[in-house]
Amino acid sequence: MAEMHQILLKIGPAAFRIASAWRRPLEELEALYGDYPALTDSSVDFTVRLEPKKPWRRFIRPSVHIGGDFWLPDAAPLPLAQGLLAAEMGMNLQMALGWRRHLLLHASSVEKDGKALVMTGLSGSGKSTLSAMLAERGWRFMGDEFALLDLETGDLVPFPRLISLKNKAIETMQQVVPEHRFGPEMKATPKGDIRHLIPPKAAVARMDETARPALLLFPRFGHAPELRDMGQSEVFVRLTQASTNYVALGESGFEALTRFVDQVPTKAMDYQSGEQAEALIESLWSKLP
Amino acid sequence: MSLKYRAAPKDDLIWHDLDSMTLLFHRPSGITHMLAEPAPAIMEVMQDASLTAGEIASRLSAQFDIESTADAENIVLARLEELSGLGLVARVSS
Amino acid sequence: MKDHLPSESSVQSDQTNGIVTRRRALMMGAITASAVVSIKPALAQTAGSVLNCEIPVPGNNAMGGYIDANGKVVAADTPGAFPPAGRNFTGEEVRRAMNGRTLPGTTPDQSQAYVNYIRRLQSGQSGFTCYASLQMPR
Repeated sequence: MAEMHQILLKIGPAAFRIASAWRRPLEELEALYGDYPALTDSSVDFTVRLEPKKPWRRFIRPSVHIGGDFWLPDAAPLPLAQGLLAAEMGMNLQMALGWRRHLLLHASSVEKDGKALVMTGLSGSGKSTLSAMLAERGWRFMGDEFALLDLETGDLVPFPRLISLKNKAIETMQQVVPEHRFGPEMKATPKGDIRHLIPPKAAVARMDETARPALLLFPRFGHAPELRDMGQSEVFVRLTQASTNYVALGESGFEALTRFVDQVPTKAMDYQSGEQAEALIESLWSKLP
Repeated sequence: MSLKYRAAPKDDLIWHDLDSMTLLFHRPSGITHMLAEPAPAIMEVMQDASLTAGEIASRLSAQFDIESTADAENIVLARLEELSGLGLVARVSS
Repeated sequence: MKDHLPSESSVQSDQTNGIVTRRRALMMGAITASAVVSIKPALAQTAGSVLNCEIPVPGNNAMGGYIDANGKVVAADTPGAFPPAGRNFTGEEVRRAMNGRTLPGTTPDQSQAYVNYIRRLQSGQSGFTCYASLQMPR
């Protein structure tokens, strides 16, 4: 059997083994996750496997197939230059398919004064970029891909992975964040140009601190700035669509999501720039109890 | 029509009101349903009894202010069939 | 169930200081108007949002088969049928093809045949999960 290299990563409550036929993606991961806590033992929640689909693709036009404890058919392989992206997607896949300890929402989140702002929406809504921006402006970054809701208390648990910036967002953040916090440039990936951003040190250091969700936003980039109320029924349905494990959790998922919808005020937010978004958010945040 | 219906046992169901719809979690199946009127009202008046569509329509008229009672029984019947397809109501041999 | 007073009821006092309770209005809806929507699991949604997927034409079970204009897999010598695509198409390429563009490297007729093949995919066939995820809002 061909040699596999591996590293262990702990992010929030989840521990991953990333096994790879190639060293390079793991070296890139280690460089970016350097400040994250080391795993004290090798008991992990998930294993991600980066392997060639055919043995010769390990060397010839090396092609990374994303696998692991949880996998999906039809997954498109990535070139080795995008191996870091493959590892991140692999971790997303394990969480999306396998995590049961919290209700998962496709959402970004940031915290201030013990309260969390949760932002959810389709690809392109800007939730990742907004969380990266707010993280540089006084908020604590809690996650850009998944928001984890405690099934008993309803608190939000941090899951601060590398922030995935796409296309224009890369340039935007490069203006406010030093170069050493960025991962390699990956051009023309299936999701466009991508660069990963290491969350601020404080966010990583405080990755075990939960927060009470206080505001839910559905951001929409590229429209004249506006805030709109949303009906609870609409919010509930959209959140079931934004959750990868709502159905699998059964009754506890139902209790957790209904509690969330009952307790957390929600707005739709249209915006055309980071500054506009920040202003709209501050206006809502200042009015919260 | 003498076909009778019975709501799923209370312990099998968790209800939750949202603004315009009512959520219903069905424990045995683990499925979450969203109900719009008159479905929640129908299940509410059924209680634990086995009833015909006509009997349910009467209970509805007694408890609620229904606009036109002419179609009520047929509407109730249509909703009961819908609910029974989802396992929320059972047909009972009369 | 509803453990609070129905929102539209009102309590009025009549002239003799008694209390009259008005029944809550109930909308019956039309006979044909469905009143229940069920939240369904969607593996395809997860697939679409987390992973990039691809669709082989034809899939592994029919390797080497040709594709006719209706998207059915046929023998190689079938007149008018198109050869296997020779490459996998990404979810994004297929989505664009379904919105009017042609699949990369194909003629319009060939693209249409391939798209018809993809539309016919069943659960269990290569590319089905990918195709299903295209139907979901992402």
